Amino acid sequence: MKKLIFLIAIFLAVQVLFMSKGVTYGENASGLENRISYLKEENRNIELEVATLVSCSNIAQKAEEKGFIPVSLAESTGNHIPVAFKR
Amino acid sequence: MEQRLRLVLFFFLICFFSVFVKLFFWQIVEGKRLSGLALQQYYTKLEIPAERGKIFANDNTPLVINQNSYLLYLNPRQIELSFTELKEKLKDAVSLPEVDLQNLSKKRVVWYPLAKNLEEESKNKIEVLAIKGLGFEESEKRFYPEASMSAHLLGFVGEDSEGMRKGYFGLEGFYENELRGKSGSRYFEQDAMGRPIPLVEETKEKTLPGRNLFLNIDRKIQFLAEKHLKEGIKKYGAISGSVLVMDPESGAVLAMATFPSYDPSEYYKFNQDIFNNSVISSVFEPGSIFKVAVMASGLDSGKVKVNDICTNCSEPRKIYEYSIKTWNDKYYPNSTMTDIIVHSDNVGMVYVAEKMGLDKFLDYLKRFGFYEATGIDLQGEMVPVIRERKNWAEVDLATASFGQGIALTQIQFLNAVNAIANGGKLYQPQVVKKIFEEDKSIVIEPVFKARPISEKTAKEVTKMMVEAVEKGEAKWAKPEGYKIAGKTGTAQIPIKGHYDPEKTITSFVGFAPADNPKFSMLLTLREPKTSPWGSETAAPLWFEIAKDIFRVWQIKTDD
Repeated sequence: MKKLIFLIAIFLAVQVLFMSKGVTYGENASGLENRISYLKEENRNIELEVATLVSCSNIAQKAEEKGFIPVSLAESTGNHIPVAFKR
Repeated sequence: MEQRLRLVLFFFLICFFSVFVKLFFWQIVEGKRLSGLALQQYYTKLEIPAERGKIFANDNTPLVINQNSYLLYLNPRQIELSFTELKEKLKDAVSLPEVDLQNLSKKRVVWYPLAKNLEEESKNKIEVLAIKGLGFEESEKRFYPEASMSAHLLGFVGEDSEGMRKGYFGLEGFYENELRGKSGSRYFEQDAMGRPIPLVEETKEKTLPGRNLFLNIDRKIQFLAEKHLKEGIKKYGAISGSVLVMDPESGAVLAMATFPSYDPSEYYKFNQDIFNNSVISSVFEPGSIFKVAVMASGLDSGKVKVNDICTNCSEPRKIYEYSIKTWNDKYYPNSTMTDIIVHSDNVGMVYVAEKMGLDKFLDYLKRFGFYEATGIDLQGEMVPVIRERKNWAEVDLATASFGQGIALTQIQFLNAVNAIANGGKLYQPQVVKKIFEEDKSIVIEPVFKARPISEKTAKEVTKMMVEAVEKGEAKWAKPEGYKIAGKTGTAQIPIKGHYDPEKTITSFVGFAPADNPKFSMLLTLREPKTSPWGSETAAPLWFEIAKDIFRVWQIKTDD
């Protein structure tokens, strides 16, 4: 009888251990998945930011703000100073 | 005593029987439904939507990518504010359509979409307010780093009748199957906290992201072409315009712009008419630019030669009651074929067409591909109908020789001119260069279709077009030092069976450098106000764009 009780106790202990490990794995996996989706989102945001920064319209606007003028306009004034100096 | 025992026994029997009946009901009658409910409780299905393919220009910079977006929904039974209060609270983040909350609540609606395509910023603003009864669903939407640039070329992503995302027009429409991808799903067992249990079996349906497109489009040229086109339309008072730049050696489309344009990220704010890409979806009478195709046909058929003299170019040509005149009513007796192109001489072109005859003329229209779609990889290409042979009168052949009374699409025409530029080869126009995904790619090679004219003819016509630029009406605008082959065009606009006496479509077609073309370009302006002539509107604009292409590609001058 004692042996039986002991075996049942062992069995229960193993099951509890096993279950608790399972829960820990599950939590870790869930954490990793969250991390993956966070990094994916971050990558996507960086991609958007880079794409916006290198877009022609953005570069043209920035150039205008800094005082550069289009080559065609520079040529039409008859002044052939390189564009970089047209400020 | 015995009776009491019987009573107890009977009571237990009834109890057992009730339990048995209930078990039978749960396990047999309701078994399937209940086990389904139980499965739902500890099994969960996660839908993993496929990311739509991205679109890149030929310098590997993105033209279309994806960004996170959110759908704002409300649960009318949980919301504690009136709709006016809700609208007021959310006014900084989103503008809401009118919603009858009471009515929704009465109908026991628990989910009602309030606003789609919200950006992260708007979502954060709303979340801070912590309004009970509001929630978000995550999705994605298209992001256009170049804003409305290339809108007609790219198309847009909208929704079909079932609310599913779908590409319309341009590349989004044509490559819908490649771009869409296939959404996947994941079934797994979860614990009471909703965390996946890893020790039990998990079923996965793999998500296949959409394929990406790598285009022939040169982003810088596209940007400059659009910029010049917008400025040109304003400068010349035109109502619309378009520009198409191609590589004549392969049929690759390098830039394509139509104006007025629209913002593909807010396509729903625009009238549907604006979505049509006039380069591929509208027909136009080409006018004098068509003369180069007719001259190429005449020379290639051997019916005329470069130095032949036009014997009836000294006066207007009379065909029945019609009198065909030159554009400026000046006549050049003894013109050579080159002179006819240089002077853009309508009477001279009638001479060429009559020498060819109708059958040869129609044969060359077919050879140049004017009877069929070019097969460009964009949704919405139109095929103009050329009337049957039996319906051609003598005067129709005469007017068609200088581009009136015949309708084409711009892509058809520039594709035909490419055959003159590249030594006689007709290619299929192509916007996409490569379709690729994570581990493989499909390179789209140029598609050779036919050889409508010989290399010799192509060279002869190129020479004529160079002369037309050097000596023609638009010579004042030509960039110095470059050998450019081109032709101006001014076409009247047909309205209800006759031509509008004042409105015109002006155009210029050409390629450069003439001896080794790096690009060909067709530019059209509809109803310019400052001048009705191609030489004073479309041609200078064409040369402005050409100058930028020379600069960007560092093409050296010919001298």
